[in-house]
Amino acid sequence: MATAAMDDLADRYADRAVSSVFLYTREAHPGENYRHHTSMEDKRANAGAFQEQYGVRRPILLDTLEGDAHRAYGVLPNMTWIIGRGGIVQYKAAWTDAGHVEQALLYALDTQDRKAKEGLTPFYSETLSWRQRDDEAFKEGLKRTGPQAVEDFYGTKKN
Amino acid sequence: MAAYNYTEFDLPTELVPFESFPNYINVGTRGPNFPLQDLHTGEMVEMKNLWSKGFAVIEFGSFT
Repeated sequence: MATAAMDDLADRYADRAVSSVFLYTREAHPGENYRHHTSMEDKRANAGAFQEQYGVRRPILLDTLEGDAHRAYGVLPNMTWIIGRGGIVQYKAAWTDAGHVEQALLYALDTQDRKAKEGLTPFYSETLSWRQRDDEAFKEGLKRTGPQAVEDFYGTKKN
Repeated sequence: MAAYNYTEFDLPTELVPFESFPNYINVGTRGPNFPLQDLHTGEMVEMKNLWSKGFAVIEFGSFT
């Protein structure tokens, strides 16, 4: 996850009426040390551990135990959405890449300023986006969660 | 709830939502509002309040 970079982005745009949050969902890779949630207390405890580990500066908001918001927005493990005034979705990405989010945010801020005076009209577009993978960091995260998380992901479980 | 908060990660199952994501809540349409709980204060927060004064950047995720 791009936690530090997303925190930095939040700091840079806070004075432009941009509100940035981390919405805490289910555990994507539950293991012995950070198990699946059976209560909001479980969710709160794991979110607190996450905040402590990464020093997250953005507000962390907890979804319901059943993941109402997460499921409505697509149930992906690390997506990012940008939503504008009136609740209109400006951007949705299946994965979080801080640089990509910043491009989209700058575009949204720019067109917000220009659309009235230049008479801009919206159109739909799609792009294929790319991100860097940090396999070592990902594997370290799985190890921290516990052997089960490693076995589940890499399919090394012994029957 | 058992299916949402699964006990074991299963790669083929978890790849399915990536395929359907393009069809979820299109850009240019309204995002649904949900109540959320602030980790630190314990207070309930309406998601729509995040975008009431400007843009909201919402990253979804978890520790694991």
